[in-house]
This record gives sequence, C-alpha cells and structure tokens, in this order.
Amino acid sequence: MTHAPSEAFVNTLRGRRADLNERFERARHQYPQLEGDDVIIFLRDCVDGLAVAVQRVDSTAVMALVSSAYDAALALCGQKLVGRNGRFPIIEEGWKHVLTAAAPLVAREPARVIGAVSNALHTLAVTPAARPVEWITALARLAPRCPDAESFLRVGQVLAWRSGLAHLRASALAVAELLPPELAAAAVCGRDGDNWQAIRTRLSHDIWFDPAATNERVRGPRVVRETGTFRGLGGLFLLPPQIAAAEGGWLVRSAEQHWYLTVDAFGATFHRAAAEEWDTANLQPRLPDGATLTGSTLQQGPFTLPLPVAGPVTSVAASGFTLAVTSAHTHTLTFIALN
Amino acid sequence: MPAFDLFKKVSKAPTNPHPGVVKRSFDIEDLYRGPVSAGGATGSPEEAPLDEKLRQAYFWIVNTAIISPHYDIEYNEAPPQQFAVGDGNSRITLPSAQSYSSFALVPLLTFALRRKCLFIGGPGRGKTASAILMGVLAGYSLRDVRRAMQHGHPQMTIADLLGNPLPADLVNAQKIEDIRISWRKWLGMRVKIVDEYNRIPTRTQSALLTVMGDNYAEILDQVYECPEAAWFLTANDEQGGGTYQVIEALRDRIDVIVQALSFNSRFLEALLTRIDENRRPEEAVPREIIFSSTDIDRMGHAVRAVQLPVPIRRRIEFFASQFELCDVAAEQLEYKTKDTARLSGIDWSAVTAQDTGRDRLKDLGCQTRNGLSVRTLMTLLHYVKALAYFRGNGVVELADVRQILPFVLHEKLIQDADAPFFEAAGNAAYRTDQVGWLRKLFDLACAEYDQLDLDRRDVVADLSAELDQGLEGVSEGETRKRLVKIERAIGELTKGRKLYGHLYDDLLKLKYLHQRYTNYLRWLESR
Repeated sequence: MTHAPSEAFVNTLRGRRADLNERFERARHQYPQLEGDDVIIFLRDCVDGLAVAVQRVDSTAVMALVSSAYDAALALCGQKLVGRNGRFPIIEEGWKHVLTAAAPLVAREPARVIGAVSNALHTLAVTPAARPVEWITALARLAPRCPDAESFLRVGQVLAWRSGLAHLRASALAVAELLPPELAAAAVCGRDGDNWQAIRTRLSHDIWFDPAATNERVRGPRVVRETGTFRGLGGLFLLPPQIAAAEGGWLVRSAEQHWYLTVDAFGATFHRAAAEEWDTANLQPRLPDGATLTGSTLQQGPFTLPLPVAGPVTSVAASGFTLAVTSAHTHTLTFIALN
Repeated sequence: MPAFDLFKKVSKAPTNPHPGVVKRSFDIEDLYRGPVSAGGATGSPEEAPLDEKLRQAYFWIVNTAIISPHYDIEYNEAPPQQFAVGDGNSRITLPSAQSYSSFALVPLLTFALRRKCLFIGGPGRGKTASAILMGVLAGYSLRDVRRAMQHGHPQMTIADLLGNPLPADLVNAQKIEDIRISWRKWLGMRVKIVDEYNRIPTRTQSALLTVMGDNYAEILDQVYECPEAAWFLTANDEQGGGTYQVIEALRDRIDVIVQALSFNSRFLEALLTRIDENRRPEEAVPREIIFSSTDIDRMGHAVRAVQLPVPIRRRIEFFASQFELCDVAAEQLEYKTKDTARLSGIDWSAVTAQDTGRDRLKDLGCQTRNGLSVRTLMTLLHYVKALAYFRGNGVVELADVRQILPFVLHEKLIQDADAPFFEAAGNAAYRTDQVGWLRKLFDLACAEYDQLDLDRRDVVADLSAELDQGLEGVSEGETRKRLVKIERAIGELTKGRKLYGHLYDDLLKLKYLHQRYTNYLRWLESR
C-alpha cells in the first residue's frame, strides 16, 4: 500500500518543478533507460521519509536535500540499480534506514552523505559474500552517535570491512584510529564497553580475531573459513582451485584463471590476478615450527585436526599462522588458524 | 554545476586494462566511489597516469564529441569474426581487442607528440571541429582557439599570417632592426590550427613553411621563436587542389594525414540531441582531460622510452628497403634510386618501360614512384611508439606498426597506379584506397620477410652486430677474416638473384662494413 507524500516534500518538488524536469531530461540523454515512474516511486519510497526526518532537524535544509537526493535518484534509476527492475534493492533499504538515521548529518552535507552512502551500498552489493544488511543495521545504529559527517563516513568504512570487505582491513583499521575510541570500539565489536586499545592491539596481529565472538579462546588449530564455489553454483571456479601464499594475501588458480584473495575473520574477497603472479609465487609452503601435515591430517604440538577436504590435497600454502588447503574433489578453499 | 552534463562524462574505468603484475593497494576511500556523484565527499581523485589520461581523452572524444563510429585501427587478441557482404565480397571484421577510430586517435597522438596532422575530407565532416578540440585539450579557451585559428584564403598575406611592423617604427626607425613587429598571437600557442591551408597563396605558404619547419617566424630581420606546438591543418582536397597548389616542401612537413569519414545516418539522433541541448562538445571539455605543457613534455619523455624490439625494427627496415631502388636509373649502385631518376626530370613511364628482368608484380618497389625519406621514417618511429604508449604498452608490437603506418606514409609514398599490381584481380580498389594499399604493402613485405626467414637467418645483421661490438683489439688476421666473410656473403647474396630493394640495401650495408674493415686494416698495417 502506498502512502501519500509529505507536505514538505511535495512543496519542495512543486517549487522547483521546472528545474527538476530539466534535470530529468538531461539525465535521460545520459541514461536512455531512465524511466519516470521509477524515479517517482524511488522519491516516494526513499526520499519522502528522509525529507521529513531532515525537516525535523532543520527545515531550511529540505530544499538542498531534495535537490541532492533527486540527482542521486536519477543516477541510480538511470543505471537500473534501483527501481522496479533495479538490480540492487538493497540500495533502497540503505536509503530508508541509514540516511534517515543520519538525518542531522544529511541536513548538513546532503550531496556528500547521500553520494557516499549510495556508493558504499553499491560496493557492498556487487561484492560477492559481502553483507550489506549487516552494514545497514550497524550504521543505522551508530549514525546518531556520530558528531559530524566525517566521523559518520569513517564509521561506515570500518563497518564495511566488518561486513565482509576483507581487502579493506588495513586501511579500515587506520581509519578507526581517527575515531573517538568508544565509537571505534562500538563499530568493530558491535557492542559498547570494550577497550579499544586492547582490541586494536589484537586485531593488528591476529587476522582471525573477531571481537564480537563469544568463544574465541579455542586451543589448537581450527578451521576458520571456507570459501569458494563452483561457477555453476554462482561461484568463480570452473575446476577445483589451487592456492599459494602472496604478499598480504593469497593467490588462487582455477582453469588457467587467477585471483588474489584477501581473507580474515570478517570475510573473503577475490580480485583478478595475472598468470605471471602465480608463476612467480612460492608453491612450496613452509609450515610454522611444530606443525606437520600428513595426508589430510594436521598435527600441531599435541593437537590433531582432520582437515575437511574431499579427495587428495592438491595444494597447501602457509602465511603467518594461517594454513590454506585445497583438495581434488571440492571447489572450496579451507583456511586453518594455527595455534 | 548541473549533475548531468552530457558532454562532461569521462571514463572512470581503466580505458585499456592490462593484465600484469601489479602492486595492489586497497584504499578504503574506494568504498565511497561508485555510480553516484558524491559531491566531493571523499577528497579529490588522484590524477590518472598520462597514458590513461590520453585514453580518457580519446574515449571522451569518440563517445561524446566526435561522432565517428569507424573503428578502422583494428587490434585482435584472437582471430576476428569476419562476414562477407555483396557481390564484391566486402568484408566486415569484428576485432577481438580494443580498436580505435583513426579520425580521433591520429590527431590525439599528434597532439601528444607535438607534430603535424592534416585532416582531409569533404566539407562539414568535422575536420575543423576536431582541430579545435585539440586546442581546447591543451587548455586554451574555445574563444582563444577560434581566434587563433588561421583561415586560408586567396588574399592571405604574410602580414596576415605572421604580423605587422609597428607603423611608428616604420616611420622613425634608423636601422631595420629598430622596427618592432606586432606578432600574431597564434604563433605563441602550443596548438596551431590552419584551416583550408590549400587556399593560401604560394608566397604566404613559404612563410608558413618556415614556421612549420623551423619553428620561427621572420619579418624584416626580426625573428619570433615559436614554442613547440602540435599543428592541425585541414584541406578539402589532399591533392592540393584548392585555390593554390600546395608547395611540396610544405606538404612534406606534414607528419600524418587522416581522412574524415562519412557520417553514419544511424547516429542522427546524436545530432538531434546537440540541437535540443543547444550545446557543443568543444564548449564542455572536462577538466580531467586538459593537458598542461608539462603533461605534454612528460608524455614526450614517456613515448621516447617505449621500446622498439629488434625483430620489429628489422621488419620496418625490410619494408622501407623495398622502395628506393631503381635499377635503370644509374650505372653505379649507389645512384640506382628513384630519386636519381626524379632529379633527372625523365618521364616516369620511360623509366618503368626500361625496367626489365624483375617480377614487377612481386616487386613491391614497382608499386611506388619514390622511396621513403629519413624524415618520414623518423615520423613513423615516433608514431609507432606513441601508439604503443597510448595502448598502455612499454614495448611496440607489430600490430602497432601495421596500424599507424598508412597514416604516416599517406602521400609520402607515391603510388604508381600503372604498376602491374593494380591490374591484378581484386587490387584495383587500392588505387583509390591509400590506407588499405599501404597496409597491404606492409603485409606483403612481412610475408616476404617471413618467407626469407630473416628472423633466423640474416647474415647482414650478424655481420653488422659483429662490427657493433667495436674494433678495439681486433687483430689484423681477424680483420682479414671478417673481410672475407663479407665478400663471401656478397657472393652468396648476388649469386643468380635479381636485384630487389631489400637486397640493394643489404649490399650497400655490406659495402659499408667492408669499407670500415678496409680502413681499419689499413690503419693496422700503417702502425
């Protein structure tokens, strides 16, 4: 059921009708797929509520908000990212929840905040295995605690890493340092009351440390992540892959295609790599002292871990205290955190 | 600034992505980059590398500014799909790699190299508009570019072109050097445009030649040194058939010629949009693709740093060697050139009538009336490197040579339309299709090069490499041995063979090597 648009929103649209119509015509030349109905529905569903929220904070900011939101709506609808046949409905969810929660900040810098949030939602939506819903929920929760747009956007960056963009780990941690400690801890831990410095120290040397996990003190090697799927099931790999360690991440090969993989406690992301990188990679893993791999059984000190492999092990790679294993009858890469 | 400006969009994606080993850096700011303009939310974007900027400029031109859907510079990574159409078996080829429109690319390379490009083609096809775009890319305002553009016309004087002496000085000056000149502003610009240069009177063309060739202007003993500039000239008729015949020296100064191809009526909608919007693309060149003088200097350095591998250089040498030989022009080997025949003033048909013994269909040299000048070869090397640079490569590929060569040799290699080659089945079209003919010539030269297996068996290259190692410490005995090797090589090369262009160059090179060793031997003996 549709609701009637708010008076503030309608008045703003009416007051700038000629200008907005002209912008629509220009946008339609740039985006031939742009449909008026999509824009109207998006404005009604996503911008109206935002305009109301902004009006509550600062009624003089509504005009600028609508103008910025309208341009963003044209770009999103024109590229078929949102709308009736839009590819990423999650962007609309983000507008409804995140932007509305950040209304005071949107009122101050509408174009900047709207553009950044839209683009972040798009980045999360197009990254396989990222969790945009988690990002929306967490950012909507923390937005009211952000003193300004700068802090808000930084919190968004930290949360994006936490929501699956593992390749942003290093720069997200650097950004977190610029936040007030309690806000940084709340963003990384997902709750209040943690000591940021202690958390920060552990995060810097343990990629498998998740501050939000309750039973993280497990002794002995443990399987920490399994990633990768057959292309026929929506994954990347045509054939069971092989893995090698690389600087700051891993290299993966399957059917003469190559990827650079970043992985940590929060996610795993694949990026295209060149065959030359694989050719120069070290394919002879050196396990940490005290760890041995016999067949599909990992032994480290007194601990024994049967690996969840299918068929013979086809490649093993080690980096720091992480072991990565592939096997002949599965498209899954298995990561083991050593003790 | 409006959020949606039709002409301001520049490609943000890498325009010609290359696989390769890269140093990865994942920037958290990437999170906020995407389909929506963030209003400067995340700071100013990093400036693109210059080759990427050049490609951005190219794609902006072809996608927004110039409607030229003619991808005639074709690259392939896999065998392309081809379809035949019509009774004449016309082919449409679908390139399997990123390909380009010469009408946009060649001027852009000229801009990057600061050289000289001539646009040819019928009126109203975008020649002048393209030239103006190049001026705007150099950072000049549209008004300045338009004002600085020289329009050729039959009454154009040297003063119109270069400037005037100050009237007061003409009256008061005691010496000629006291007469100051009010130089025309366009002489100081980094992009110079001469519209319809074939309408300029011959005397004024000579003044233009000095500026184009030597980069200075002179009036009444006063000299104006011009900055390094890219030149863009237009002509409705490349044959110099405008109001005045274009003097040969001026034509020879032009580095590349590019043809404005016909308008494809399927793109009429784009013209309609321009009318609807009441804006011209040249009024809206995005700031990101404006090149400063320093940018162009840096591009020049980078282009020169592009490597030309020896096997590709050898193919260029082999191609270039085909054309200068004219066996009947002289008795002495060194003078057996088309230039000798030309300088004598003899009728060309009289020369070709005497030419017997060779297979005139197979001999590529028979297809031309001249050979290649040093200037032309240097221009070719510049453009070959520039094309590789534009494609994001540090090393020239054979395809780069094949693709750019016709635009450099256009009107430099003069076709002999009476040659037997053009009588052969399927070759008649090459009489009118200069680009196709020159590319065919290069293909034929490469085929011959392969057939002779010169990549593996090139005795001249081996002997030359031996000399390149230097003569320091080479003994008398060794020198004599090398002389014998050269003589034996000449014997092998000449045994029962006809004299073709490449053999002519090889023999002259061997003679040169022989002379170097002979002189060295004489010096050793005199010690």
